[in-house]
Amino acid sequence: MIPIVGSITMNLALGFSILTLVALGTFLWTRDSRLLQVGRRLSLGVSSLSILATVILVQLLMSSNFGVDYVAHYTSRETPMLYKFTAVWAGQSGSLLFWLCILSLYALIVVLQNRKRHHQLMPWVIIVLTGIQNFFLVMTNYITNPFMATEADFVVQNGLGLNPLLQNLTMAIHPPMLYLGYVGFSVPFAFALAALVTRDVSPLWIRSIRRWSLVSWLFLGMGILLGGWWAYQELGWGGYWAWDPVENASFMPWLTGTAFIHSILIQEKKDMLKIWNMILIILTFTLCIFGTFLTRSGIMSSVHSFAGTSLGPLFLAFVLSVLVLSGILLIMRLPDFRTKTRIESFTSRESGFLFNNVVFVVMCFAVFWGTMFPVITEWVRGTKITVGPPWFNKMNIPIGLFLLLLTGVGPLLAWRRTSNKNAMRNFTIPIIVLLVLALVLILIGVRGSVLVSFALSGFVMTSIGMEYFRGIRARMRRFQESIPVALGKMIAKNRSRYGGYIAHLGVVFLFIGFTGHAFDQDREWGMEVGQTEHIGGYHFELKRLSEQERPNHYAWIADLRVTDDEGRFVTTLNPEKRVYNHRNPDPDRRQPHSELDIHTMMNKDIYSVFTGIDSEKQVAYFKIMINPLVQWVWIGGYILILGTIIALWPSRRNA
Amino acid sequence: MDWLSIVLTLLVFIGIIIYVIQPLFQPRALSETNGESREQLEQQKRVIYQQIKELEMDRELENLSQADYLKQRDLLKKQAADSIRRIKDESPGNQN
Repeated sequence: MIPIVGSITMNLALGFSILTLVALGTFLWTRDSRLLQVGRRLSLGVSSLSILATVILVQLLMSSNFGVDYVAHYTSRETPMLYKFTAVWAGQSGSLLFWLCILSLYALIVVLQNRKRHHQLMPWVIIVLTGIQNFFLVMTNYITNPFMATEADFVVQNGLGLNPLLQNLTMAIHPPMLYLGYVGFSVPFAFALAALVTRDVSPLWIRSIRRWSLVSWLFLGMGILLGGWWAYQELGWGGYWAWDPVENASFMPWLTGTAFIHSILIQEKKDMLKIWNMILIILTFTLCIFGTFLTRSGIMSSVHSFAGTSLGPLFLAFVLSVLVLSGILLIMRLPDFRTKTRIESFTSRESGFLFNNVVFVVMCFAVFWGTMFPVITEWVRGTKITVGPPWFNKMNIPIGLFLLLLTGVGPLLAWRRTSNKNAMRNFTIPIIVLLVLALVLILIGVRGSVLVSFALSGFVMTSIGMEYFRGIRARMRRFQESIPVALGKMIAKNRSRYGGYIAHLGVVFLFIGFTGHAFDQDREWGMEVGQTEHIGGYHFELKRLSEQERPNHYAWIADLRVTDDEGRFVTTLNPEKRVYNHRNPDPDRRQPHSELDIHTMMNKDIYSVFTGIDSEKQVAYFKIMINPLVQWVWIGGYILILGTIIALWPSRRNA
Repeated sequence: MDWLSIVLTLLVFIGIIIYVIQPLFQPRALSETNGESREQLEQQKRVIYQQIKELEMDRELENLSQADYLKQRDLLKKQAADSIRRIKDESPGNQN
């Protein structure tokens, strides 16, 4: 009976969403405020019902109700409770419902938060958000319904279980983070469209959505980083980013979103770039939906994508409609959004922001082109030509390094124009650091993009350090504060600015980590117990090989003793070779899986993969990689998150 | 699902419908289409104050020239004064 309640709830939500659009449309026609209230209440109903439908699906998964096709496909009796919960987003229909649930949560907050604010905008904001909900409700009601009954003429006793790769704590957090980011951009998009329709050029709504944009950007960034962390910990190829189409799909809106959260500051402070900001937010939201299209259409093959379904054309139609409608609206409103203020000098902070924006968009286009190249070549030539990581690296490394340079240059530029005196004062020390670092690196034999990346990292760190130094010095002079007090108060009183600089420091760490990839080493070998192999200054001795049967898998566990060239003990690694569903009589249903073990140090990771076993000869096969500076990527991620949270944290007055 | 559950579900459903259509039974009122609410004006004032604070900070960090600082400060001061005046006009004592 409960699955039927789930379906009815979703049907009601769809009905409510249509009524919301009718009520608000009529309100805009008649200006009868009662209809606005009805529309608001209906929209709250749509959101509540959508959230309720998700709760029902969770209940069905938790109670192993295999009468529901989705539950039988993605869980089994043996699936641990946590992963029964995460199965909500493991499959196509569940993940769409989960998307709708997050959108509904956001819509609920927006409607309740703005009951007494933005009177002109809110009806349109609700219309846009409900329109998006409506699309997802049509999908989950009629195209891929998560409450569909299992098609079997017998009682299903057990389900297929969750893919072992997804039975990982990171994977439990990664998709919700990504979704929170993707979906979050719906809110600034809705405000932007509402502002376009109502010709609202005031900076107030921009200030309202800045926080939303930052939150969404933060979640999207965290989702991407967690995805990289998961790939690194689980997939066993030793990397965290492969320029896979689905990875790119999340990276593209992050790039335009990054441009947006920078340029929105200029609109707020200088009343500039209004049209550009509209373009950026429309692009970001469209890319979020486009990413969903890429993942679900089946046009791209990726480890992350769902099986090809009929959803593709509908998503594409939705993406095109969003793009065309917003584009037309933007063109119609161009005269209203043009500003008289112009960038006065090439060497101003405003132009620095604009440069950074353009470079982000160029990078996004490069990623888009590379991602879509196989599809484009198939359309044009009839054969699919795929571009791999070398192409993406070749295109994006120079762009990325230019962005890194701008990260350092931006804070050193003055608003409106930078005088020669100012430029000398601000740039001298960072340039000296850059040159000294470059010289040292050249002397130790570092060349090419690695050299540029490390030298620029030093330049940016110095530029950020100088901003902090000048801020602290100013406070110490003015208020006679000690260094820690001045630092604390300076950050507390200018969270947006100094949080932003901390985030930039995180970016530097990320770049240092990415650059470490240039020094990766790997080797593969087969070993018997007692045998020793070596790579990158480390020796690996297989001390023991044990077997263990666990509730949902069978495991072979290696005991690898690692020592360095001087014979000093470094660590013991225990990679495992597992077979899930090992009791299944059908060998095709058994799922092999390699559980890695990684020894992490600040300067490198020792990464071990148990790739296979010949149980008759008792030979175990391993792949060992030495990955320098990977830890810097994760630390950079933490710093980036910390900086963004500081920038986001409301001041006491705003709270 | 037993009868009690069905009745409870129906009651919840009817409750939602009543909540949604309840405003329609209130007297008809036209929505304000122009003008800003007091809260919006207050928010606008806060934005200007924040901008003044940031301008001061930028001057201390020597991120802008003295001439630019004075020009910007005058502009923001004018905007702040205008904002305060509009808030006063909106306050209940000053309503016509």
